[in-house]
Amino acid sequence: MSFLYADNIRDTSGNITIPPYGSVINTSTMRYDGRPGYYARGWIAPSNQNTLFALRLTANNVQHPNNILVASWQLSIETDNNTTFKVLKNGSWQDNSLGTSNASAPSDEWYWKGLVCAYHDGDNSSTPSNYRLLYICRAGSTGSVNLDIVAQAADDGGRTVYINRTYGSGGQDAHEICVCTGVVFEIAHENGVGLTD
Amino acid sequence: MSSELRVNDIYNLAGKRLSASGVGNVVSSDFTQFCEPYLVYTQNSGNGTRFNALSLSVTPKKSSNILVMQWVITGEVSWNEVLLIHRNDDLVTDGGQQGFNNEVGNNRWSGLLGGWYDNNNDSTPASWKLTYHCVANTTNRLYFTPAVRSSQGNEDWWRFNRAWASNGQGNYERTCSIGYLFEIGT
Repeated sequence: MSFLYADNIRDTSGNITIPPYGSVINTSTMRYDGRPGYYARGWIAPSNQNTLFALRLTANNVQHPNNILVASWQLSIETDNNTTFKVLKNGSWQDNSLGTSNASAPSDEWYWKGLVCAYHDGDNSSTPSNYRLLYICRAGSTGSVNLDIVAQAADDGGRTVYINRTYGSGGQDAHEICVCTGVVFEIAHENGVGLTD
Repeated sequence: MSSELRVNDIYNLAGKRLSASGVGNVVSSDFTQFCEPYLVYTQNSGNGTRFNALSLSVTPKKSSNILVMQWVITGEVSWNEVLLIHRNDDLVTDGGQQGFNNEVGNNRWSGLLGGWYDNNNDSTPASWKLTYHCVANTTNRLYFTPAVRSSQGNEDWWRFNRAWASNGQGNYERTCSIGYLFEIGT
C-alpha cells in the first residue's frame, strides 16, 4: 500500500484534479418551453404508453455503468389527480428497481404505481401544478443514457396531460404558462468511476 | 506552506485512473436558507418583485461554465401568480435562458412556475420546486434571485415561509426556503 499527500494535485495545464469517488463527474441539463398535450392511457404497459419525449433528460458521456445518475426535473403540468408519473431508462421500465416505482405495490397493478402522482388540487382549468421528480439509478451503460417520463392514468380511463399550460388556456390572465427544466448528475462510485478505464 | 504536485494522470495500483479534469465537475457552489416569515407584494405588470433572501451568487471560473440552481420555496399565495428569475437585479431575457416561458414571451402570466391552486390558502403553506440553469457567459460576479409577479388583473401578496392567515400556530405551519447553486466546469 502506498500513500501520497498533497494540498492540491494539478494536471500539467494547471487544472485541479478531483478525487472522483462521490464526486460529480458529468452534468447534463434540459429545458422545455413548449405547451403540448399528451394523452395518458390507463390499463396499458408503461413501455407502450405515450412517452413525454419533450422532457427527455440525456446523461451524456457516461463514464462507467456502475456510476450513479441523480436526475431531477422541475415539472409544470396540469392534469387530473388520478395520474402517475414514471421514468423510463433507455425506453425500458424496470418494475421494482431502484427508484422506478413503488416496490410494495403488486407487480400487476402497475398502472397506479409511480414515482410521484398528480396533485388533488382545487382546479385543473387554470394555474398548472409544480412537481419535483427525482430519479436515482445506476447508469447501467456508458455513453448516453436517456431518461424519459411517462404519464399514466391510474384507472381504466384516459386523460390529457398538459405541459407548461393549463387545461383551460394556452396563456392569458390567470392561466399561467411555465417552463420544465431538468438536470442529471453522474456521481462517481467506488465500484465504477470509469473515466478512462 | 502548501504543496503542489503536477502530473498528467493518476492511477491506483490496479491501474484504474483516479483523476478528473474538472470538466463536468462541480467547481464552485453557493447555498441559501431563509426561515423567517416574509411578505412580497406582487405587481401585475413589470418584471416581478425579487425575494432577495434567496439570492445565490457565483463568480464563474470560466465564462463557458454551466450554472445549475435549485430551490425549494415554501409559502402561501393566491394561485394566480408566476415565479421568475432575475440575474443581477434584472429579469433574465437571454435567448434560451429566459427567466420566463420563452414561447409566449414576457407576459404577466409567463413564468418558470405558477402559483399553487390548493384547496385552502389560510393554513398549511405549499412548496415550489424550482430548477434553473444557464451558461455563465462571464467571469464577473453574478447573483440570481427568484421574483414573483401577479398573473392577473389584481395585485397581491406572496407570503413566504408561512400560511396566509397566521404567522405560526397549531395547524398554521412555519417553514423554510432553501436553495443551492453549482458551477459546472466545461
